[in-house]
Amino acid sequence: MPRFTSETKARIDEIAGRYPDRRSALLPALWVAQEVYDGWLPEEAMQEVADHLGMSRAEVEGVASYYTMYNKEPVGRHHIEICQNISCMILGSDDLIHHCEHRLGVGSGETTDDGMFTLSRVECLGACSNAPAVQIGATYHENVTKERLDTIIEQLKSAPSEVAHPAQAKMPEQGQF
Amino acid sequence: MSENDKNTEIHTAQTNTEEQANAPKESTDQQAAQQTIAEAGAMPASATTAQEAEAAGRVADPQPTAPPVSSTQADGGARTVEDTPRSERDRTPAEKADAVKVQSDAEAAKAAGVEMTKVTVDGVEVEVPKGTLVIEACFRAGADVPYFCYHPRLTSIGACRMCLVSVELEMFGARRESIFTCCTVPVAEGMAIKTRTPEVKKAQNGMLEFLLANHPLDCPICDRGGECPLQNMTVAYGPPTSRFIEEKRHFPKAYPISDYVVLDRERCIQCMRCTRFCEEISGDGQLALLNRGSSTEIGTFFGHDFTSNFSGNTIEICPVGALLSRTYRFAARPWEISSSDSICSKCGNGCNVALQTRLGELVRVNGRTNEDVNEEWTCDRGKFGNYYVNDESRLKHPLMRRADGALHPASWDEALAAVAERITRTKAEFGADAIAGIGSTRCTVEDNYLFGKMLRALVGTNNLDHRMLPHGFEPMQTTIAEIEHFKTIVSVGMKLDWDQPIVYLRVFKAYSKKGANWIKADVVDNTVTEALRAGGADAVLLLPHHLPQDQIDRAKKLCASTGAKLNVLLPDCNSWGAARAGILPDRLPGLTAFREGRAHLDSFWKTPLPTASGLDSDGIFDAVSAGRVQMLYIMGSDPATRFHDTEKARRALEAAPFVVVQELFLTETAKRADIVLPAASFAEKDGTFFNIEGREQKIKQAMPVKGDARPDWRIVADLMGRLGTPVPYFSARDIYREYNRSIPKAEAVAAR
Ligand code: SF4
Ligand code: FES
Ligand code: FES
Repeated sequence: MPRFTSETKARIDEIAGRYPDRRSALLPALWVAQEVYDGWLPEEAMQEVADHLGMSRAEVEGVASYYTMYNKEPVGRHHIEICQNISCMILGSDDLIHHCEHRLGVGSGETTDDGMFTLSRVECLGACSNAPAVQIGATYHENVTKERLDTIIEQLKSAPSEVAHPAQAKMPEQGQF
Repeated sequence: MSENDKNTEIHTAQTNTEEQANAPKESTDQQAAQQTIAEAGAMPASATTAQEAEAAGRVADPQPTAPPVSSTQADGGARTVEDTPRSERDRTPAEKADAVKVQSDAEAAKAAGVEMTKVTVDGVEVEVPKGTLVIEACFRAGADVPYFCYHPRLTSIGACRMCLVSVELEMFGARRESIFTCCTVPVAEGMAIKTRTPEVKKAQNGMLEFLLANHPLDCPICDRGGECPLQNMTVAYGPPTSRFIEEKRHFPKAYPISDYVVLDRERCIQCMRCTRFCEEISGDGQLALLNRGSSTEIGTFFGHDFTSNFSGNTIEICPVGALLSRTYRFAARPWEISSSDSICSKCGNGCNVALQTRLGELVRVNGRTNEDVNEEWTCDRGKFGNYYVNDESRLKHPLMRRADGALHPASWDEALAAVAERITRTKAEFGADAIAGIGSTRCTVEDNYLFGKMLRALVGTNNLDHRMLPHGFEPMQTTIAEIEHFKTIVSVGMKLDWDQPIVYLRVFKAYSKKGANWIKADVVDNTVTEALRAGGADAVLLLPHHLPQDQIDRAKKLCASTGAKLNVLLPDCNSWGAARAGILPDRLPGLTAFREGRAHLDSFWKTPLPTASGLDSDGIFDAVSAGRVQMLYIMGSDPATRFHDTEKARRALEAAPFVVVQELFLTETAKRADIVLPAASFAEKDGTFFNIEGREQKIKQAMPVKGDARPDWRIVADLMGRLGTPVPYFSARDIYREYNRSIPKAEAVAAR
C-alpha cells in the first residue's frame, strides 16, 4: 500500500525544486519517506521515492543502503542510538551501552519484544564536547549517565514516537530530564 | 620473524646486483624496505635482472648468488616489472575493439574540424581532439595501459584506479609530475604522459594487489578464465603474490539474478561497468552498487529479477567473471570455441554477432562491433534466443505422409522425386497457376531468390508471396544510426526495447544524451500529429509494420506534409531480403516491376516468364480453398501461426491437395504438409540478410548442419535439377552473384 499522500509528495517536490535536477533531492526525500514509513525504509518506501523522483529503483536502494542512518529494518517506537566513537568511548559509552542492553534485555541493533525500543551503536554524533551522547529519535541527550538514561527510558515509555529527521533535530534543552 | 619480514628478506637477497655491490649491507628490515622503494624509483625497471644489468654494461656480480628473476619475489607490492609493453597478441579482443573505437572517433573528430591537442606519450608525439581522455591519447599512441572500468561508450568514473600513469605538465609556472587515473583526466597541450616509468609500474602493481585482495582467484572454475581482463592484467602488471592473508569476503556463489544471468559477487571488482551500462545505454537502471566499503556488492532492487532486455551485454563488458551467462556457463572454455561472424536471426535490426560453437553446438552469441547498426550491443533475444539451432526437436530427415495418413521419415531421393513428380503432374493437369509458393522472411536472400526463380522460370507461375500481413512496403527513410540525431522521436504501437531493441538503444541515446523529445503513442492520433508538426523536419516517426494499413497511410501523409521522416520497421531478420529477392506476386528481384524487369529476366533466365501478376498470400489461400490452387510450396514460413488470419491459412492448408514445407521444426504448418523437407538454420549456412534499413549483411556457416537437413537454397537447387534444369550452384555466393545480375541495371530500366 503506497503511503505517500499528496502532502508527502508536495513536501518532496518542494525540496526537489531547490535543485536543478530532481534526483538531487534523493537524500532529503528518503528522510521524508523514513518518517512516513514509521522510521525505516521498506521496499515500498524506496519504490515510492524512486517513482516520484523519476529515478531507477535500484539506484535508490544503492544510495539508501550506503548510509547507515536510513534504517533498513523496522525500528521500535523509540530508536536509542548510543555513540560509541572516540570521545564518547573515553567517557564511558561502553558502560552505557551494556547498561542499556541489560536494562532493555536486547543486544545492540535489536528491538525489544514489545516493539518499544531499538538500541543501536552509532558513530560520532557530532556532540563530542558533551560526550557521551545519545540520540533518541530527533532528540539529542548529552553528558548522559546510566542514571539519566534510566530516567529517560522510563519517561519514553509513555512519550509519543519521534522519527529522526535532520531538519527537525532539536537541540537539547538544559535540564530537560 | 613475521611473514612479512621474511618476504622483505627474500626481496633484499634478490635486489639487483649493482645495488648490492654498492650499498652497504642493510641492517634493519625497515631500511631494507626503504631500499626497495628507492630502488624501484631510481633504477630503470629493465635493468633489474642480473643479465640485463650486464647487458647494459653495468658492473654486475659475475656469479649472482640469487636467481636473477625478479618476478618470484614474495613482496607483492614492490615487484619491478619488465619495461616492455604487452604485445598486440596479449590483448583481449575487447581491448582491441576499444582501441579501434577510440582511433576511429579521433579520426572522425579530426575530420570534423575539432580543435586538436598535442601531447607526448612515452616520448611519442600524438595529436588528439581537444578534451580527449589521457587514456585515449595513450591508445592512440599505441601505448599499453591497464584498465577495467574505462569503456569508450560509458562515462568515465575512475572506479577501479587501475589506469595509473604519470603525467607531466606545466602548471603555475613550474613543470609538475604526478600519477593520475588517466581515464578521468582530459589532455592538455604539452602534456608528457609516461606509461612505463618504475613509479607507474609500482603504482599499477600495488593497485592490482588491492583489486585482488578480495577477489577469490577461482579462475580454474570461472567461465571468464582465458578471456578475463583481470587475469590478463594480473599476468602483465600484477604482483606475484598477495600480502592480504586475511579471510576474503564471501557471498553465495553463482546467484541467479534472472533467467539468463548469474552473479558471483565475490569476483566483482566494483568497476561499475554493468551499472553504468544499465543507466546510460539501456536506460533501465536495474543494476546498482549496494552497501558500502568492503560490503559493496552489485544487485538488483530488493533482489527482483534483472528483467532488462539488454542484460546479456553486462556479461560481455564485466571485466571479471562476476556476471555470467546461464546458457554459456560451463558449456565451453574460450580456447575451445570457434567463432564465426554472422548476423542475428531474431529480428530485423540485424545485429552483428559472433556465433561461437564447440563440437558443432552453438554455445554463445557475442556482439560484434558495427557502428552503423548495433554499435557493440545485442539484445537478450539475440544473445539467448538463438539456441534453437541446437534443439533436439529439429527436423533431421525428410518426412512424407504415407498411406496411414501420418508423416514418416523418408530419404531425400524419395522425397524430392515425389515433389518433382507432383509439380510436373499438377502443372500438366491444372496449369502452372495451380501451384503457389510462400517464401520466407527468415531465409536468406539466396534461398528466396532461387525459390522465386524455380517458381517463375521452371514452374511458370507468379503466385508467389512471403507476406503474412496484407501490407505494402515502406523503405525506412533514415538509417538506424541517423535516428539518434533527431530532436523529436515519436514511436507508435511498440514496446520499442523488445520489438526493435537496437532502434530503441539509438532512441534512448538521443533522448538521454542529446535531449531529444521522445513521444510514445498507441496509435497515430492527435498527439502524434501535433508532435510531428512541432518537430518539422527534425522529427522522425517510428511505426511497426503490423499497424493497420490505414494508420500507415495516415502517417505517410502526415510525414509528407510536416517534413518528418517515416520509418516503418519490419519484423524479421530478412523481411527486406525476401521482398528484394522478388518473392512478391508483382515484383521481380530487386523489387523491379514486371514492366521494367521482364525483358531482362526473360533473357537472363533464358525462358519467357508469366506476364500477369500472381496471387498474394491472401489470394493464394482463397484460391486453395476454391480449388484453383492445387499445390502449396512453403519455404521457411509458418502461416498456420503467423498469418494475419490463421484460420484462413489453416483451412487452406487442410484443403490443399498437396503441401510441401521446408522447415527447421515440425511447425503447425509442417504438421499439415504432405512432404516436409528439413532445412538448415541460419547458423549452418552462408548467405545474405537485409536488415530493416535494407543493409546487406552476410551470415556465415558456424556449425555443421544437423542431421540430414540441407540449406534451403540447396533443397531448391536439387529440386530444379529434378525438374529438368540442372543448376550450377556450389555455394550461396554463386547464387548471390546471380541474384545481383538478375536485377536490371538502372540505366537499362531508364532507357526503356
Ligand atoms: S559485476 Fe562486473 S561489471 Fe559489474 S561492477 Fe562488478 S566487476 Fe564491474
Ligand atoms: S564521539 Fe560521540 S559524539 Fe563524537
Ligand atoms: S580504468 Fe581508469 S580508473 Fe578504472
